[in-house]
This record gives sequence, C-alpha cells and structure tokens, in this order.
Amino acid sequence: MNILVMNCGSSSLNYKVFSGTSVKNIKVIARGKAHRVGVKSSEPSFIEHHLRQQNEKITTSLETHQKAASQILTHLRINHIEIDAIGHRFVHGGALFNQSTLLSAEILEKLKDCLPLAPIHNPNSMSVISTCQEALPTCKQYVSFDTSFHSSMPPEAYTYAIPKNLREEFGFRRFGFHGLSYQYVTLAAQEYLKQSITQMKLIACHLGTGGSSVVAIKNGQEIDTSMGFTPLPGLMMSTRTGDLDAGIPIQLLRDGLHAEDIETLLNKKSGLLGVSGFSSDLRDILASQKENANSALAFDMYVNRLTSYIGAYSILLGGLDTLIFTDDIGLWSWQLRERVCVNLSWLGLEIDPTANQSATYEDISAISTPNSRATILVIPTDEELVVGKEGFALLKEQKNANC
Amino acid sequence: MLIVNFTDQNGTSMLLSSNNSLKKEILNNQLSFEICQSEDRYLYLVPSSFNYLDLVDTSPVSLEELTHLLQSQSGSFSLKNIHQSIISFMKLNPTAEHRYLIERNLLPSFEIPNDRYALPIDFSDKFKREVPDTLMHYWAWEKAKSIFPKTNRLVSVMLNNTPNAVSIQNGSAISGSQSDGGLEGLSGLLTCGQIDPDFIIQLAQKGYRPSDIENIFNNNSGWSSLDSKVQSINDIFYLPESLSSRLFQHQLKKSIGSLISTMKGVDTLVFFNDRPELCVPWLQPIFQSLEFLGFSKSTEYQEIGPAIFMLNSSHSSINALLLPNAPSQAMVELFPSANLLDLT
Repeated sequence: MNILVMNCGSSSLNYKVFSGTSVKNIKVIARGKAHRVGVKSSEPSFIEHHLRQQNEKITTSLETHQKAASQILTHLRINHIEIDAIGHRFVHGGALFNQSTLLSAEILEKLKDCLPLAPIHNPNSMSVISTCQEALPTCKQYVSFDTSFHSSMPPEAYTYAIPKNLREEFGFRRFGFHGLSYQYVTLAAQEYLKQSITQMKLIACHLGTGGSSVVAIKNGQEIDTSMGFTPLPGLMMSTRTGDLDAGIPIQLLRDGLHAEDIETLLNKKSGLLGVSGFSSDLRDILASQKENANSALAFDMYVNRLTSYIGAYSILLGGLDTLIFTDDIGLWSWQLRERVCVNLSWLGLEIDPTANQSATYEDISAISTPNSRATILVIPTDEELVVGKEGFALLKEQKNANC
Repeated sequence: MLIVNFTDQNGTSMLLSSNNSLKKEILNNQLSFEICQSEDRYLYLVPSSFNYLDLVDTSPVSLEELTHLLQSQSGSFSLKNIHQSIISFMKLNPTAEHRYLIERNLLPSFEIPNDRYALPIDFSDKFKREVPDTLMHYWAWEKAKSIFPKTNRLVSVMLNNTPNAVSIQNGSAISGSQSDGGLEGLSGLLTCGQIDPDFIIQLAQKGYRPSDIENIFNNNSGWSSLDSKVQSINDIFYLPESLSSRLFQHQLKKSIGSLISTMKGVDTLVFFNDRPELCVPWLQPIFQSLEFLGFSKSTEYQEIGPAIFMLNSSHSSINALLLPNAPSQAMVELFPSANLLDLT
C-alpha cells in the first residue's frame, strides 16, 4: 500500500509517499517540498522532488497551497507513483478531534468548524484535501492533528483565567500545536541519548519558516507550550506577533479597525515581516542586519522571545537536561542557535561552535560541549512519518498508531 | 510627612501620612487643606502615566514657574487641579520642605527590544510596554542594594490583586511580565493576564463591543472567575490546591524564568506582600524550582528590618527578600532623593 502524506505549513507544503505493509514496515519512495508558498520575499518559490535517486528543483510561482498540491499530484502521476490513500496534517482539531480520523462527509463538516481555529493553516489543509478529492476521488483520505499531542497538559497550563461561560461557549483553552513534530523529535532524542524521556527535563523548539513554538516536557509529561487556543500567541514568528497585550486589539477595534483587519494584521503582517518592514524570511533578515537597523531589531526580538521562553520553561521544569531545535529555522540557523544558547549560559548551557555550524538537515547532531549542563540537539523532524504511520494503523490495523 | 499621590487624571489625590494613619481622597480639589497644615515635609508623587506638570528632574522648581505652567495649560481642567493642589499646599505651609517624585523617571521604559511588541513598525510608537508599579519596583532595587550591595540583577514581584514582575539590572528596568494593563502576563484577582489575542477577534466577530470585551477581561476574569472562593491574593495563599492558585504559581514560575533570562542570571529576588505567614509557604515550590541555579531557601524566614524578611539561607547564591506592600513607606524612604520645590 502507498500512502501520500501532505503536510501544510503556513508557507510550505511537504509531501512523502510511504510504501509498506504495516506500521513497522514502511519506507519512503518519494518526497519533496514546496517552498515559499504564498510568501512575499526576495527569493522565488520552488518545489523540490526526490524520487528514485533523482533530485529535481522546479522554480515556479506558488500563490496557494492548492496550486502546490496540484503540481505535486501531477508530478507523482507522470512518474507512475500509485497512491492508495492520502493523509493530511491538520493543525487544529479543537475539542472535536483528539486522534487521527478517516475522512467522510460528516467528518468534513466537522473539520469546517475547525477552520477559524487556525486561520493560517486549517484553510490551507482543507484546500489541499479538496484538491486531492478532485484529482483522486476514489482515494481514501484521513487527517492527523497537531493538537492531539498536547492533551496531557495539566489544567494550570491549559486554562485561561477567564469567565466560565467563555471557556465553555467558545471552548477557549490552550491547545498547543506542532504536536506531530514534537512526537517525532522527543522519541528521536530518547533513542539517540539512550535515555527514557520519562527521566528527562526536556525543552523542544519547533522553529518553522511560518510558525514556531516551544514545549516543556517533564518526565514524559507535557507541562506547557507556547501557542494557545490558536497558533497566534507565544514566540515571535515570520508574520505573527506571538504574545501580545490583548488590550492592543481592543484599542484597534476602538480605533475603527474591523475584526478581520486585526486578524490579518496580527497573523499576516506582524512578526519578522512587520518589524523588519520588508521580509518574513529569517534568511533575508540575517543577510541585511548589518546595514538595516529594523532587520537587526527583528532578529534581536526573535532571539529574545525564544530565550525568554526557554528560561521560563527551565524554571518551570526546575532544571534542564535536553534542549532540542527542530524544523527549518531550527535546523539551518546556526546563528540563532548560537545567540540563544550563549544567552542561556546562566542555565549551564555550553554550545560547541564547530558542531553547531556543522549540524545537518539529515541527521541528529549534538551541538553542546561535554561540560554543558544540558545536551543540546538539532533533530530534523519528520511529521510526515508520524502521519504516515497513523495511516497504516488506521487502514491496515483499524486503530491509531502508537509511534 | 504628608504624601500627595495623584491617583487619576481628574486630579483626584490620595493623601497619606508617613505612618499611614491619614488616608483621605481629595476629589477635584475639594478638601480642607488646613487639616494638613502642621506637616513639615510634603511629597508629591506624579504617577508614570501622567506627568501633567511637565516637570523635569532639575530642581528646584519655583512657585512662579508652577504658576506659569498652570496658566499655559489653562485649557486642561485636570492640570489645573493637580497644579492647584500643589500650589495650595505650598502656600499653606511655605516653611515646610516640598518635594516631588515623577514615577516614570525612577525606572524609565524597558530596554529595547523588550519594550516592543512584534507589530509592524508603524505601530511601534503607539503600543509600547511601560514599567508597571514603578515606585515599588524602584524601591525594591534600592532596598536590595542596601541589604545586598552586590546585587546587580534583580527580579521584583508584586504579590497583590494586580500582580506583576519586573527585571532590573544596574538600576535600569530591563523587562516585565506585563505593561500597565492586566491583559497580558500574570493573572490577577479580576484580570485575565496572558490570553490568546485571538479571543478579542472572535468576540468582536460575534458582535461584542470593545467596552464589553474590556470589561470581561479586566473586571470579570482572573482568579475569582476560576474559583468563587478566591476574593483576594490571600485566598490564593490559603487555597494552594485551587485551580486559580496553581495557575498563578505556574504563571509566576514562568515569569520569573523569563525575566531571569533577560538579564542572563539573577542575584536577588524581591517579593512584595504584607502577609509573610501566608505568602512564604506558598512560595516554597517556586523556591524549589530555583534550586538548580543555586538558590537555597531559609528554613525559617528571618525578619531583618521592620516587616522585611530574608527568605534565603546564608549559603544561597541567590538572595530573596519579602518587603511590605507599602507605597507610603517607599515614598518616605525616597523623600531625601526627591526633587525640591522652592517657594522662594
């Protein structure tokens, strides 16, 4: 059986085709990624495909995730890759979904109720589901949710100090995101370190080109995460503000802005793009920070917010054994890792500059010195593998995978 | 000593005597000033949010200059009230020592980039993070320096119904859990603290007006919205197993860790609260979470001055103090360094 996994980021679309017979026996036969989908930046959009030892990079305009998905499906079809099922990463399942689910007309209706919960991600995933249904109408599809991973958070972490009627009527609570990625990297760290996460104080930073978050895990139990009911709060991101005095959107309403304008402002025009004034891409920001004061400020703010969260979670954990960086920015930006870890020397962190600069996209890299109080790891994440395993479990074994 | 604390923009003032025995509100200048005639020292506190007097930190300011300021701002009713209050007090007792403190100048704004939100650059001046409870956090710095002279990095925490925390390094405010408002950072008795800003958008889309939304999150949220038994911060200490108490402790640990990060370490922690017998046991889990940094708690909290307690043991690498939540005491102690108003 071949399962295609589609993973919509806010500005990317990863895909992998897994072939196998069960959860424990699967391999990747094709993979790729659409970059800079819907992004305003100095560099063009492109798709990379990796298939049968061949690598291909196609520069193309990618205004929407639908367009990227359509090009990926075409590429697989002309290369004669059969698809039996398609799995989708769905960022926010709200209170309606806490495990992977096969799609049906009824489930699709419920998914529509979840669209406003993650306005940058969920509509993209939904549009890709539609594209896949149109292109492969007989193919089974299922969804796996980022929010499922965070279901073990304690009430003091997920509860907001707001009236009960709002918590119940609107379902306002902290959900957390990037759960599929955290599921992968925490287990990868466990295997790499040969130490159970049930004996670890661990902080993982998922730093994507679109969204970024942090999670604190103590003895295998998640105790907090930076994103909230939606992926808006927490770290400063490419176009999102992250944490913000909620008095600000109230004042903007008073100033006459519509709710939709404020939503766009906070989700799509802020963060690195808003502060730098020209790019949401950290590569652009880093390249221009010497001559552009706003770029330098944007990078400083990005570093400070991340450093503050790691510091906050270290006190919450009562110490730190393992710090993980993952996803695009977490993997490529050695400058960011260096600045953050040097700022955290008060925690006993000591980064090895050579190991840090030679960390790769392909393998797990330990970038701390032997004297460091915590092990610092750079781990390429694999959300698609988590979704792929869920698919084999659902379709072959009629149950959810325990990856 | 008489302390005149201007508490709102209409010129309403709170009068406090140095021993806290006199607590009177002056509403729009409607007060018999004679009751205060016997005082020999007067301190006027101009809060952070409004320096109506356009005063700068160069003393002395003459009565003539004050009168001129009053006349030049005659269109502002509230300015008149504040100016007239001061001038009335000065005329009432010209031989007394009159001084003023501009709260904002004690700890100017947070260090860049901690004063910013990650909004587009056009909004950076409109929305800046301001130091809350400046007077008290500045006093924390002064007291900590006097008791532990090697203190260079301090986290100061207000433990009251509108709590907040600030990091101070070498006398400058570095960052804070929140700005003046209660819609970020730590939750309070009625204020929500940190929430997802998207809540505002969703409520507005459902037809809630800005004033309704503000009222919900500023006046009908917080600890009391989680636990009806919680009516003040003392109940947070009384009921450590309640959700509101656990939530607040969880938030406070995060805030302290975040603020320590902004200074790359900490020398001294200062907490403000008047009930050590309630507050100190509640703080123990927070102290435990700091042990890996070398904090060692005292087995018994030790009173080292009037209502001042040392909470760390002698071999701790981080100091911790509990100070009374007493703005009048802070102002009395800061009086000698306040700026002089000169009638001559």
